[in-house]
Amino acid sequence: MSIKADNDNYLNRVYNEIKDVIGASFDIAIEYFDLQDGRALLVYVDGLVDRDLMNRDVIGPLKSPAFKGDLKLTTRCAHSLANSQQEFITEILEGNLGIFYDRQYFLFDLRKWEKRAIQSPDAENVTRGPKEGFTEDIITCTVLLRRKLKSVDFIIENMKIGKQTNTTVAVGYIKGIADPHIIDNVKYKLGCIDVDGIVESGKLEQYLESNSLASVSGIGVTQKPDIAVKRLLEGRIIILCDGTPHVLTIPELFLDNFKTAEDYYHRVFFGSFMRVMRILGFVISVSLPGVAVAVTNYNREMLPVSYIETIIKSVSNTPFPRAVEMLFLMIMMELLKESGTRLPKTIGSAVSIVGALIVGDAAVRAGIVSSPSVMIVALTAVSGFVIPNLNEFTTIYRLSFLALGATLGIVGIGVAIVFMIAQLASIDSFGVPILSFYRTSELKDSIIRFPLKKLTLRPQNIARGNIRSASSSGLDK
Amino acid sequence: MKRLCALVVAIMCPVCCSIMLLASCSSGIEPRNMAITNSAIYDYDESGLFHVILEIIDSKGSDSQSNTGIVTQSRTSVITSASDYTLSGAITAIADKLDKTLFGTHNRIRFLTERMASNELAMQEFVDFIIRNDEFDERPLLFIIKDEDIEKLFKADIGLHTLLGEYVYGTSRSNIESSSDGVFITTLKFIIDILEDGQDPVAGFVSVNNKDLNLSGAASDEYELAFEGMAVFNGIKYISYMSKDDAIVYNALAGKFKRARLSIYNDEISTAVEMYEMHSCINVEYANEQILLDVEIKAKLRTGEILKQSDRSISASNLKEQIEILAESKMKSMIQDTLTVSRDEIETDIFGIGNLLRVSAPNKWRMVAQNGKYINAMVINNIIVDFSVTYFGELINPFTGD
Repeated sequence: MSIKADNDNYLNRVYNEIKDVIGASFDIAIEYFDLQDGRALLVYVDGLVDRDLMNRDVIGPLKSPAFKGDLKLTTRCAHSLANSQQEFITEILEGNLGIFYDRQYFLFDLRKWEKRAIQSPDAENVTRGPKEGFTEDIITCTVLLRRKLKSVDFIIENMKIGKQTNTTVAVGYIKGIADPHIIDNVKYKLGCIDVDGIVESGKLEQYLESNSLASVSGIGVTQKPDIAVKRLLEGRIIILCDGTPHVLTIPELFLDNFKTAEDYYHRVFFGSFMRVMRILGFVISVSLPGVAVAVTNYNREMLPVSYIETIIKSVSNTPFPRAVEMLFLMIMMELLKESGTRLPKTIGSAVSIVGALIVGDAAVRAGIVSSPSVMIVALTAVSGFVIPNLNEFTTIYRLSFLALGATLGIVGIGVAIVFMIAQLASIDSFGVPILSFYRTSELKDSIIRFPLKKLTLRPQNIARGNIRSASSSGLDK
Repeated sequence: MKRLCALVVAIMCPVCCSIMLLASCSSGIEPRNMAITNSAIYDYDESGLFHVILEIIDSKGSDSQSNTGIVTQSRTSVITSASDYTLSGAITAIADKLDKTLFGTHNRIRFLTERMASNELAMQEFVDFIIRNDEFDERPLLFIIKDEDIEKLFKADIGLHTLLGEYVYGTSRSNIESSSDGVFITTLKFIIDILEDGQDPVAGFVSVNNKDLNLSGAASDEYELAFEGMAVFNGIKYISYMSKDDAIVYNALAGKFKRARLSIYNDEISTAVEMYEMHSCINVEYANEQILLDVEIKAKLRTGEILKQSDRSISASNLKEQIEILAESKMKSMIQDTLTVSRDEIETDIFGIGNLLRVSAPNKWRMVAQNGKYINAMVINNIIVDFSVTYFGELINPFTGD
């Protein structure tokens, strides 16, 4: 048997093997490709490879008379060799163009697919500062980060997670600033994830957290590159997941939920004021319905006469106890939020208007609920919107506060507060307690923000060993 | 593990039960089931019956809005009353009538009729009831009202308020700051003064007057409330009403003075001054079986209007001194009069002179206290009044219009 026939047989065998593994899908192209001195096998996923580049830089040169049998020299783009057929198939599914020729697996990075443009994220709008947000494409995300962080110490390591999805997950950190123990811990935990697929970082977050039943995970989420860079500079680690614009930041302290990028772009007093407002919003969002029921049902002597007069008049015709009224309104609010989120934007806003104005007003007029209760739940909802990261936390604790406030009064509120603080104190994020903001350096950037010149240290619990971030000695003169 | 779980349950159950009990879980009342009182009148008649009238916030009352969008507020209270041989009995009778839980911690004002306040037995029961009852606490202001004014009280104009209690409370708050010619005492302070050695209590006095609506001076059939003067007690028993000048002196010597107007005049000028930033000091000494009293008062004056009464020239240089001397003299005589009346006529120690002696010379106080009418031994040794005009206004001399 001649060498050519032997090669053809081998090629046919590889064709059949590849066909057996991935050939059932209509979008995967497995084609023979005739060359001057033989045949090659062309394999790619239709839609993931740039066809123009493929024709111009790979197929064109190989078909030309200049091709003398050396594929490496003829093609006009960078290539690599896969060590095995399995690796060859995996890379093809990643979007690479694969050519099997001369018993070698050639891979060409000609990936190109339709993706969303860089847009301002919906959840983290800012009035001042960069508007760009991460996209679902992990390479775009890394590009956005690299453009802001041109440091040799900025490392992005990638790995594949998911037996079926083979999702690219990248771990980013700044060498020398981030705690090596946390980096190792994160990588170890990511390596231990053995699931069929990861398509969103939210799922990843739940696999990484130490206590699945905790009310907060200790892992932050952002869609904005400037925030991610700020977190990196503080010594944190970021995790990018291909297919989602939500980037995880580790470790995340509880107080970080009240910080926004804008806090540092605005003047110091306004930045601090807004942060205090966010904390106030959190307190209102969690406790107001419970406290309102507790005070009116148990400790009404705390209320001014004019307010209790209003309450008495408004509840005199309603059939349900105040706690039930609140619960009814809170459920209605959650339904409205959910429907507003799921529906298209135009309909979603209409649903919100119908729900808030018409149903709320009708409920008051029909005597089902009282207007102070509507006002309290509305204020609670608005306050909750200032801290979207804690939406799940506030929703659960709001119900707890309401239940305890309605049954035990102010003591119940006290019990709920103690329970909440105890639970938060028990949570740690990769070894860093999430309530740890009490060190002197961290107090300067906690409930209020000191001038940037004074913020010369990184959070000591996070960036262990390398805590000095700036020197303001020259600026102070 | 089972033992551990049982232990946790055994510990948690009593803890949870304790929390429930501590929180008075069973005392939770829905607002719609509460009858919240805003003011209360207590009366006692010759037959030994207590009459209680409560002003209760009306849950059905509402503000009415006209077509023009102006919200007009009307009274939003229900007046209800009951009688019984005990105060708690009368209040329970009201609660039974209302079919709601009576709630008294928003009660702002307590009115006592003169006939009740002057009955020692009734007052003892009143104080006992207030001290024991946890719902009707000691914070409300206490006023004495004439017996015949009770019916007019709820017809009186309450200004922009919708509740009488709120109106009286609000007016009292503003009067405390702007005018010291009335006395505003909480029930707590009243009870403390009763229990304090060497101190007799006072209370506010409210009178219901016909509203003077026209310039002719004819009285209308509408009523308004006035908070001038004070009710003076001897021990627990109401003795007498004292005028607004006496109330000014009481406020000045009791350290409660904020500001008050004083009209002064002589042959040359007539003026009204406002006294403010007053500081007083009372020194008490016991010698020769007499309680020697030294009073010193300092205050600033602000002139209102100055009228020239004679053709004699008033130079700017001595006008200030003249006003100060006149005001000092007037205030001195007011203090002298009030102290004399309290010693000689009503024989009560509303200024707490006995208490001052008890603190400064306890041994001598023990001797004095044996004599129930120790106030008769008081001798006014010295009264020093030091006023200084700090604000004249835009004009130094009287305005003549020339």
